[in-house]
Amino acid sequence: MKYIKKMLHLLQVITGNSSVNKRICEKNPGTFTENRRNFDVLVIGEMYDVKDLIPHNKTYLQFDAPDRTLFASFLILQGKFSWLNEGKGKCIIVCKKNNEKKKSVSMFDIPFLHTIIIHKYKLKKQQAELKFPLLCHPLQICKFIFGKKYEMSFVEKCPLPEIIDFCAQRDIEFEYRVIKN
Amino acid sequence: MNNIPWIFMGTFQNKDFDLLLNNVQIGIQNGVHGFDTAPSYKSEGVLGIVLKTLIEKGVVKREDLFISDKVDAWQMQENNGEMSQYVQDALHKMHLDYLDLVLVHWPLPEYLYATIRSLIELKEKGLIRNIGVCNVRIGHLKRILSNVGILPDFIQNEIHPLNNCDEVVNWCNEKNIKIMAYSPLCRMNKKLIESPILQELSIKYNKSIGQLILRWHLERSVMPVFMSHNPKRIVENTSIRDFSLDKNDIVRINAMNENYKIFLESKGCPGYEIH
Repeated sequence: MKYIKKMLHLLQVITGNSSVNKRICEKNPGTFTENRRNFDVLVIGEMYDVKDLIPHNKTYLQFDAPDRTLFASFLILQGKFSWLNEGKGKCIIVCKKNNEKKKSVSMFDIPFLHTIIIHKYKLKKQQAELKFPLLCHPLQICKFIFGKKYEMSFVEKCPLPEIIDFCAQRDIEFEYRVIKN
Repeated sequence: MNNIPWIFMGTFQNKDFDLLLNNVQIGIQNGVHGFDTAPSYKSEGVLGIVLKTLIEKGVVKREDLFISDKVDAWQMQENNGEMSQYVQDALHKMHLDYLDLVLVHWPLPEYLYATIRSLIELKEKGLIRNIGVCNVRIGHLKRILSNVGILPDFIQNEIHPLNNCDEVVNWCNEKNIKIMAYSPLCRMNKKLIESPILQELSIKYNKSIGQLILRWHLERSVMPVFMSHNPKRIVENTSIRDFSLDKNDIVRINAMNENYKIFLESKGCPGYEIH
């Protein structure tokens, strides 16, 4: 088993999957690698240029990925909202219109999810894909690395009321933005 | 309950037998009889062997020790809150007949009440003596009371001058719930080291900033759970019972609060309820 693991790791490195995996995972701030806390804004969802969304004097964290569904953004929010300044923080979720109703999670979401959530939603396939992201989803990787970030979106009522309730119960100001196709 | 420790030594990721043996022995020699572990710390087994060694050598008696362990989130989920097998495995691993305290590591709403009910059964059987919950707010404690019918005996939260948890500390003190503070020194965050208040008080009391903060915990009836691999630091951290802080100085340290937490609640407990 150890031998198999070592060979798989070697394969990961040789094929470039290891460095892509690292690039995806490093977007997730670590407890000890990121010392800042009490952010003003959390932006979750689609690859989006936030420069016009967030005032210069506000601190923010962004967790973005190509074609992230609204469902996945909600799962990420559940694990990440404590990065916000409690009682004074804002969450912005950005989503493409055609990803609003999909109840899917991608390999890009895995680094941001607690093992409890991964287990609950049976995301072993996505965990495995994350080890070989270039092999499994080359087009998505290209979007992730080279793709342009969207710049236009519209504020709309979130179609998932549970996100609205979730934020209200935790004193989080919530804004939902849609990228129209 | 007359062997409640005044301070605990934590064993987070401390898997080196020789190092832990030395540190635990120094701790005991300096008045520490509370030791804290958890499955995720990977130190249960080695702590068990260390304590067994020291008991067999006559350095300490089992009845004078207070050992706290935890049940982790994955255990709560894996068995839907039924903890019996995990606790028995921990006892076996640690060469113990009972644990003085078992804490629920994270208050996952889906499994919390079933887990506590399971721990109550284990307490009735004598396998654990006290039940606790970590990382809680007053709301969690009230809901535990209304759903399970009891309040926990202990809580363990991240408490230090930058996150003083005033509300929950005062509430628990009123209800006679014992309070443990993990990361009691906030890993000596730069803001504490460079704090003019703490530097001034350090001179006033002729104690290090670490000692001042640990004493601050005691003044609030909070038991710090400190961790150190340095024997000199262990001695320093336990040399805090020979002075007390003026009320005004306690207030000044309290006022340093910024709600700054190292360990974010939603990270350990997705969907964490803040009210």
